[in-house]
Amino acid sequence: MCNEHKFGGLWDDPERIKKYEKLFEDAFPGQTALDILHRKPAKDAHK
Amino acid sequence: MHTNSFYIDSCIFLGTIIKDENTRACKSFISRIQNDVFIGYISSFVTGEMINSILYDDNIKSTIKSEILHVILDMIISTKLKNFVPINNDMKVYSELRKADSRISESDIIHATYAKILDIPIVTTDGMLLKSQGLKKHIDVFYPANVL
Repeated sequence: MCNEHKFGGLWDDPERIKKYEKLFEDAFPGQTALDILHRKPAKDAHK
Repeated sequence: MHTNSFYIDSCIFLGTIIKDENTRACKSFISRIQNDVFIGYISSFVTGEMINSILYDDNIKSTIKSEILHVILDMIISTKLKNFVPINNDMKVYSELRKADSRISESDIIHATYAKILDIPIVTTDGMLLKSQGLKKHIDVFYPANVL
């Protein structure tokens, strides 16, 4: 059975964002976005 | 150059959902797109990179995979974006950029190539792109907080 999925309006839906954050936290513990994309972040790249 | 248009790297989208040092900057940047302050461009390479990284990750349970893929699609659908598709001869820029910095991966050079074709900066949190002096001779590369 599929869960009901919403599409669109994500950025105006803090609860859905929170749910997604938790999903990613559980699926990728301790990983950054760049880790998931298999990229290496340079230290202090934004400075 | 279109001063309020940016090519958005895939790490910006994932950066809004994954809590790390870049999250605040990524969220602020995407909100500027939503508020029509900026125009955001992506391509099949941006969506493809995100989808592939989930689809072919052996460490994610298949039951969760579909949930995460749904998140990726929801992020894309929820964001006001223009999808860039190159046309004939556009890709001749690629070889110019490939020579600019051999350390940058092929997929990242494609992102940079699309930004160059569009004549707009690329926004990323990827240190390799942000720090590449060779690439900066051809395109502007910005950390999201630095375009706010």
